[in-house]
Amino acid sequence: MKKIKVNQEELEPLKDIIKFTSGAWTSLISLSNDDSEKKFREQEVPVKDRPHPHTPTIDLCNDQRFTTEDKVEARLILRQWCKQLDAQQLTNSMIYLPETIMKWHTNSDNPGVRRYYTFTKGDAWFAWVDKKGNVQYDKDNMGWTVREFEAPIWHSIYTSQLRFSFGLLMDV
Amino acid sequence: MSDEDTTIDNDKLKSIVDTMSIAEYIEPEIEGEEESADIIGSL
Repeated sequence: MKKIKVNQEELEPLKDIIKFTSGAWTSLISLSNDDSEKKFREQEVPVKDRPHPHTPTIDLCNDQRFTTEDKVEARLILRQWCKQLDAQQLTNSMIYLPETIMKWHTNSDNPGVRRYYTFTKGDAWFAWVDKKGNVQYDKDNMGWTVREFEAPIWHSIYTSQLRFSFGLLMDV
Repeated sequence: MSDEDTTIDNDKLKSIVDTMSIAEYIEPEIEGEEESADIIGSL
């Protein structure tokens, strides 16, 4: 896993999407999945592969809370963003609710180099298992964070507040 | 038994109508609006 220096120009389309969808996600700020950082750190890394855990997140391009116009606009912007960054595929564009854990998973169903652009104002953590088999933790920046890693890899996420996440498959 | 006066005087009626129209223009406060503005301001 490596953190990439944030390129402000690459963030502009994402900022636009967050801004024009605010009417829908504002109501999510007061919600919670009732997970805690303690619970996140106490999780055992599973033995059996888990490509994707079930996590209650909100998909910016599909969720019914957003207007059809906003979803179409978001998809068009993200398609263009994907091309500009020379990415193979947009893997997700979603919002984590406050106090949410995305449990240990590997993304083994879609292997390759993954890059994630995330924004939060809370305490958020990215955990992964390094090549030596040790669990590592990396805290999100206050604001934007960009990370890259090669799937399959065991990783998990926790956020204390709303967290926007845009994922790309860069290379297979 | 005298007839009860059920008419409303003009001033009272105007006051009721004015209050109603003001109420219609008060937008409901959305929870999280302040935090939302904070997030947008920090993008």
